Amino acid sequence: MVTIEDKNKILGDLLRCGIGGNQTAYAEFLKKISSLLRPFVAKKITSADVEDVLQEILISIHKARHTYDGERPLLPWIISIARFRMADYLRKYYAQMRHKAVDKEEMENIFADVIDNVFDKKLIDELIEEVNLQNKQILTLMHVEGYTAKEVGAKIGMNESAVKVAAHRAIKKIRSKFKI
Amino acid sequence: MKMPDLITKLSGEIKSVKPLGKPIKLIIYLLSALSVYGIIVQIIFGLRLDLAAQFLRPLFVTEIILILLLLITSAVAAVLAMYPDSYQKSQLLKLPYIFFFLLLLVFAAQFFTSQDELMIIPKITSHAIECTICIFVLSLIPAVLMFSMLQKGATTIPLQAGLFTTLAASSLGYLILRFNEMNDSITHLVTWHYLPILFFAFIGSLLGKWLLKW
Repeated sequence: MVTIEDKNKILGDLLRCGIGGNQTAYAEFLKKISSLLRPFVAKKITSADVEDVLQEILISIHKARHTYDGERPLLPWIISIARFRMADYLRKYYAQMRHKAVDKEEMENIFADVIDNVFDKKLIDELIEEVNLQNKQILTLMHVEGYTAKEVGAKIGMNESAVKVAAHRAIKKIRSKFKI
Repeated sequence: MKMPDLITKLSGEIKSVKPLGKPIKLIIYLLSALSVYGIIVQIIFGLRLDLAAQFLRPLFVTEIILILLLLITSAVAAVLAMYPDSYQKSQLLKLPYIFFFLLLLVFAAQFFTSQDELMIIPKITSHAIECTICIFVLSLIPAVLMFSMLQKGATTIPLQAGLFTTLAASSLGYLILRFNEMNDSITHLVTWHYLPILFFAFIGSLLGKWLLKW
């Protein structure tokens, strides 16, 4: 039976060889680590994102390999990095969820007011028609498809703050047009 | 990218890396650098005239020992924080908090005990915020040195790492000023020396989050 000490030793030896420049040993180390961490990650992360998070963890282990000197057990070192990256992922995930919830609420408020005022749901499309093509695209991506300002910026080749400003101005225009 | 592709890519990029080394080596290097800096600045600033007499006061000695311990343990904790697993010595990361709290107890003891005749309490306080600014300025170089050193590591506790860094740097500033300024008023020390360290530590934790990303 393979004990924790055995695992530490096997993985530690592979990593030391890898740090010394042995590609095969390093590839073997990464393979073993990914299968070791998969169930650990799957416990906390939604199944669709497990592979992405696992890859992030492997990249982080690769970047931090100079901090391991072989003098202490390897598994706590690996688990610390894995926990750090998972916490990072969860922080971003919940922030995105919150952002989406706020955006949805904001748009619902705008649309609900319009619908209450003019009793015509067709106006929702007209609302977005009021702004120029680029701003229309920004509003659709951010408020309908749920992308963040940063992601929208990357898609349409603008920086994050410019996207936020454009979205804000577009909403302001809609509000003033319909006196919401 | 698929997992096997990533593994091939990462193992293809592997080349011999220089290890960060043992923490003890980094701690000795850091404490030596801080000591040299402290001695040079102290020579420039000068020592308070009654320093020898102040060392006859037990509470002054306790305060100095605690601030030294705070400086050393913060520097040790900052170095350990460079390793993702804190070199598996995470219990040592609690020490700076303990010494910081003990320092507050020493101030409380000095506040509630009768005033020692050796204590210098100026009737008119000549400076206040200047002391805080002085601690800040004196802490800048050590803080820059420590942050640049910590960036070579891979911390998984960036907030704490930043906090330990500024705590060590500002306690050095505190120590230099304490050996220079002839003012033992507890209210002055707590308001313009001790509490600013707490504030700098808070700023340091924010800086840590920003500067120690990897």
